[in-house]
Amino acid sequence: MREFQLVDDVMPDVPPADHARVLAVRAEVLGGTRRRRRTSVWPRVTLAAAAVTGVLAAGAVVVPRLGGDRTGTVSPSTTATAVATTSSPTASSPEEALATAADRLAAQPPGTGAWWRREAIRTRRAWTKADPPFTVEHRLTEVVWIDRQGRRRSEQGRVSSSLPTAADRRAWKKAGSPKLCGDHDDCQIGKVFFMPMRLKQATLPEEAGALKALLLRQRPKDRVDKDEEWLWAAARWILLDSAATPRARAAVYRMLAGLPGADVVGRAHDTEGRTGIALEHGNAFIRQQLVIDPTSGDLLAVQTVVSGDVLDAYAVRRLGWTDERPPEATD
Amino acid sequence: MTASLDGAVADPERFATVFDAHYEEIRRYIGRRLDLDVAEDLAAETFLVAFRRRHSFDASRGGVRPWLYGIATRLVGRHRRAEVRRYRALARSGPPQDDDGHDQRIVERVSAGVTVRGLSAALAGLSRGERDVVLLVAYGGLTYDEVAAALGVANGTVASRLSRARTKLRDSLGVEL
Repeated sequence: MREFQLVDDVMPDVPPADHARVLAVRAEVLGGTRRRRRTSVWPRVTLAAAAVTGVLAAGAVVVPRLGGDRTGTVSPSTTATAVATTSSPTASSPEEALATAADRLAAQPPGTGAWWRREAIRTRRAWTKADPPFTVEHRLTEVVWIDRQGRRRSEQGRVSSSLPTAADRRAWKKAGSPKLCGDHDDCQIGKVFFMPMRLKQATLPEEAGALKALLLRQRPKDRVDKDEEWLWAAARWILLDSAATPRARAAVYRMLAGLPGADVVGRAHDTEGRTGIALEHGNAFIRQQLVIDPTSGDLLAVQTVVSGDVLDAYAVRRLGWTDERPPEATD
Repeated sequence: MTASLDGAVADPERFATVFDAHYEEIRRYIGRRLDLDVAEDLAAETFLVAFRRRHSFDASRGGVRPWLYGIATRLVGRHRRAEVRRYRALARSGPPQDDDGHDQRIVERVSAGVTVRGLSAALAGLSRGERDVVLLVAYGGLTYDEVAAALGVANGTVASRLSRARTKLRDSLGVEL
């Protein structure tokens, strides 16, 4: 045993880095510029990741895996999130299209069933440490279940990995064609990790102003994020990882659209090739996007885009209340 | 690979390789000592400092990893009260048995009878210098020579700090680490 290995084994670990944040830091470091604090466009993105696996004050969570490799083989949407169409409602501007989509979402019934279920394809690009480094794209299916009492379960499918570009494939070969994350079980996505933060879940207001006020009251006191950064992070958590009603979800869109720095783009694609309206913010280098189905108002994707490339994404396949039940947790 | 990067430090073009090779591990090292938000900032700061001081990097006094761990450790040192508070909080609460109805199975990591609570309390009881050497070895996997290079102290100092730390940890935990 290595000296002091027990310390390494026992003490809590940290979740994987947010790739967008790494990119931003890398650009700043290589530019030799002094870094402004909290420049991430997905502030505390790991908060949402942790929420998926049950946010803990301290500790570790075992995430049961979905049986077999279901990545990319899940059944098509049957509940709230329909496959997006490229037809957009009649609207004179993207902002108006978003407002219409929010109205349509708010008009949806809250849904019935004992469990709320969110199924998404998570895509994440990561560097390897090879010389020269190459980028690997990891992809997995993630399902979150929440019951009417707020109990939460989550499942993850096996990770599949691929090399996105010819340059990456060349660098990978030059590095000796090493096994990729999805080729073995020791893959960091979905591993148990430590998460010291939590966000209190409350009954969410269904009006944008009230929602914003509530979220700002819940903002952790020891953080120095700007209000907008906190609200974007919390919004992401609400949309992906909470059983918020359609009206509350619509309020999230309206709240974000009214924040300084928010843009509405009329047409954007997600990693599944679907088209929607994008509600986004960020800087010239990195943008965070919510892709929204204009015909229903449903959330299609939450993604981070760098220079036109999607680096990190949750593409929602299904979202809403259901009569299905989660599988029993196993060791 | 580490040795091959020594020459890349002074070259702005090749510094990217240093960043790509070591950012994750430096972030992880700091993130295991401080809250993640602070750690993210300090990991970035570590590489900004390294980039600015790249011309003063001397490969003969240790490789790139000890150099980076040394910068990171000095930055962590500015937050030593926060670090100790964190250990004390973990020692008090430990991993919770339940989490407001979240019925995930929660696991307290236990190895050889050592718990997060016990070890956190023990780490809080070390001096800053003792904690630095223990965690550079435990989390960074640095050798004694590399720890000495990282902290800019003599090898004998590293050995004596580790000896004292080992005694304190054994007395606190009841097992030899």
